[in-house]
Amino acid sequence: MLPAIQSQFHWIKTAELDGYAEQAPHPDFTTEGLLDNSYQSALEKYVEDRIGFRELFIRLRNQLAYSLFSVGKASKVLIGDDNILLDETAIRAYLGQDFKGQAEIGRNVRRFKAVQDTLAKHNILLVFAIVPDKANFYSTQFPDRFKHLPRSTSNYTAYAREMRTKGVNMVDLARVFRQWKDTAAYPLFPRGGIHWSGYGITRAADTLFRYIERKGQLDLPDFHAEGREVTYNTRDTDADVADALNLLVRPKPFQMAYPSIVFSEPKPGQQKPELLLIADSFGWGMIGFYPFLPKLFNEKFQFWYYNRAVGPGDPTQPGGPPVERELDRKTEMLKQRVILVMFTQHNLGTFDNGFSASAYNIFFPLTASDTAQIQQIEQKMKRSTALQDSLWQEANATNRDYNELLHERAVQRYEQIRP
Amino acid sequence: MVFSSTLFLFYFLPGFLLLYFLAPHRLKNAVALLASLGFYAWGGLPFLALFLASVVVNFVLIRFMDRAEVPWHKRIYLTVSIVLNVAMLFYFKYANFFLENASAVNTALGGAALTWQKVVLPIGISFFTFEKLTYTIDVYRGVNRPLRSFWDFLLYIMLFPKMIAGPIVRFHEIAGQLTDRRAFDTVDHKLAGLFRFGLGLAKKVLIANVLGQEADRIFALAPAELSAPLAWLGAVAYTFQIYFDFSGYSDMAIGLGRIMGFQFPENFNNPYVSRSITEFWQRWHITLGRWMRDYLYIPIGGNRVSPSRLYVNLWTVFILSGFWHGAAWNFIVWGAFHGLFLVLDRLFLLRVSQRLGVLSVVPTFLVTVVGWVLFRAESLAAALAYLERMFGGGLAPLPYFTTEFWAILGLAAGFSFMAALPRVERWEVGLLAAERLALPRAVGLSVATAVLLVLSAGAILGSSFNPFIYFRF
Repeated sequence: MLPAIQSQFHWIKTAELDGYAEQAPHPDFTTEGLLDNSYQSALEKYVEDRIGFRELFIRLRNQLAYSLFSVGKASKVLIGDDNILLDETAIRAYLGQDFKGQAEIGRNVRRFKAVQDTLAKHNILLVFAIVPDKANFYSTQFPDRFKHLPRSTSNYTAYAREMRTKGVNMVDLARVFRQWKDTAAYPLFPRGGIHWSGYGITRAADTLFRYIERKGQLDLPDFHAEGREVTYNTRDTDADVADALNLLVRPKPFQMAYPSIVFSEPKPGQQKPELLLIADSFGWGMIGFYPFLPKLFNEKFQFWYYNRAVGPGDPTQPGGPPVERELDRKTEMLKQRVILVMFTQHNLGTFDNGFSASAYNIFFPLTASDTAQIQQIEQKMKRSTALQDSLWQEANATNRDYNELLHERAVQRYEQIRP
Repeated sequence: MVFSSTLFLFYFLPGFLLLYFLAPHRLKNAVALLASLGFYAWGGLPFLALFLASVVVNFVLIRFMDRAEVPWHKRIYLTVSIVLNVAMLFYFKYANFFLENASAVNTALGGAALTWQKVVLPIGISFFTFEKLTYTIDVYRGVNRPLRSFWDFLLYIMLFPKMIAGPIVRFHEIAGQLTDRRAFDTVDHKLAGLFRFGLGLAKKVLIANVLGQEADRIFALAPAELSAPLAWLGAVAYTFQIYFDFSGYSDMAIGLGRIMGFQFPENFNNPYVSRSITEFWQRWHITLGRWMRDYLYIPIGGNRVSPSRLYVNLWTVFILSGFWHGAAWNFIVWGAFHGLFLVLDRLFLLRVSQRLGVLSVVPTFLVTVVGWVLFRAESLAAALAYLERMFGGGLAPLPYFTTEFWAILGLAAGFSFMAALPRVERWEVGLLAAERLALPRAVGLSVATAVLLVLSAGAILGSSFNPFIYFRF
């Protein structure tokens, strides 16, 4: 009965659980709900999410699984050698299990290069930075069951090779991290975090911004490290997965280093150019963990988190929920001096999350020949009864116009073969 | 509401026990009845009126039967009661099955498919139908006098610990306790009951659910993806899952009953140490076995017939038992499969198992594993495809399973087979059935109960995976 009392009065403080979980709302009481049992099951879920000492019970269960069986109870979290926490999706990407195929990769890189060349005519530098992930970095520390699995071409290796061959402005930070692995003075990836460490970010920033300065013929404000704190008290994302495991006792982290970065005011001739960042969650490290982007670029830089707009609000304040909003993408792109695309190795299955594809469509709209070919595809689709049925169902389910949906699908198909 | 839900564990049960213990003796039945009505209504409100109506009709018919002076009048009331109860069970549980099969035959003959509004199965109908029949037949046979109070009769049928999934409690087993439970109203009984409840909960959420998760994954694979070792692993995982799930539920029901002062019959007795299928059915779902024996097998002749008729009787009972478990062909075949081995036992297998001694546990266990595939599969065709992979799927290394799964599987096997040692079985009986507890044992049980409840609560709250196999049986 104590948990029930605690849920009402909260007499004893317990630590909140980490990680995202949506609590079930209180169900509305209706006769229909009562009769079809939906009210009862919803109320049970509501009660379960709020029962007293829930956090303690869950932490106890997770601790037992972790300590007795080396099992992490957070989604997709694996425990590698030396208790290094790894992400299963990233391991599978490293092994090449989500390889998208050379044709798709070739097409995406061709389009990216076309956009890069077009933007260059407007004096806008477009750069693709491949961010290292922990699975590639700690590939020797995988859990046993992954150690002996065959490895084939991964999206990372194929994109890196293709971008290098096709002349894309690309910084392969993953390769750089591999080179540093044995010589880095402090961990470039934390034991209990999934993102690059604070120390790793400062090392990556140095390489990345020197590249941007050289390629864009820019002189960004100077920055340098003034000492560092070496500690077992992790900061920011350096224990994000360890926290998400929700254990009673957090696993011991590596000894981490946190350099103090000093940013100088722009000297004469130096600029703080306009920047558009398109990145996954690793992008936040350059904003919040260390404020490289707000300090080296215009403070009002844009961040299209996973190629979606962040805002309204200040992108220098991480943690706010990214909100999708309609943008005039062409205008926004043409406002920039630098467009930096940063995606992590294991996210390359979706390349740049549609950024270059939409930019390509903006700068290279469909021609009459393209439109004719789309119409041919539409005609072909109309001859398939099964496809028509599924489209009708989808149109009804989503309250969309059938013909509009058909056209959209035809365009998508054409995009797969468009030169 | 299942016993392993948060609402039951932290709200319903403590609230009920508080009221029940505070209530004066004469009101305890009223509190138990109201709680049982609430418990049932929570999961099956639309059926509550129907359920109550059927209980009223049964009560009235039994009163008439008891008062009838002429034997054939008694038989009429008995027959009407049986027909009503069985018809209700058939309508709700088997209408869909018969209609689907009739529709399939009609379609095969070139006719149109038959349409029908799907019938929803009321919770616990299989169990409370059996209990109503038991009561009626026992009164007819003169085993016991009918209850004078309708409310006591309603409590017997509705008592929430055993209402959803048994054990099937025959009326004469708790007849006295329905009106006076003071003999069992001791601290020792309550503590032992609480321990039994905690043990059952732990069996379900710490063992059955972990195994069930992997069994579900394996059974969901297409047959072509199953190697023989993987198919066997899935079948074995399910074999332990169903035992720890169902026996865990029975433990919880028996424990709750004991806390309230009721002595429910045991439903499981280490079935996987059986040396023959005959013994298996003396140890598995014991209350169903007894019911089938007393109210079906014996009335159709039992053992006092020619050998060939005996085999037909045995087989009939087990086919019906399979059908009772589920309205689908795979359940019928499962019943027939067990019936076949019971016949074979009588023909020669029992002699073989006697020679094998304790080793006969192994073939018996393997037969039950094969049987559970029939029980678990979604259809008879799926079961046969699965069995084909078990015996001809080819060898391939097993895919990865967590150490947690292997450890729990090992633990389940250990707990299931350790009673093969007679000393262990005696120790278990002493632990679970003790009526007086010495202080050290009372302290030990209290600590064990607390640990089991906390661990189980962690597992329940930490996982939304909480299937309950017998919920709608």
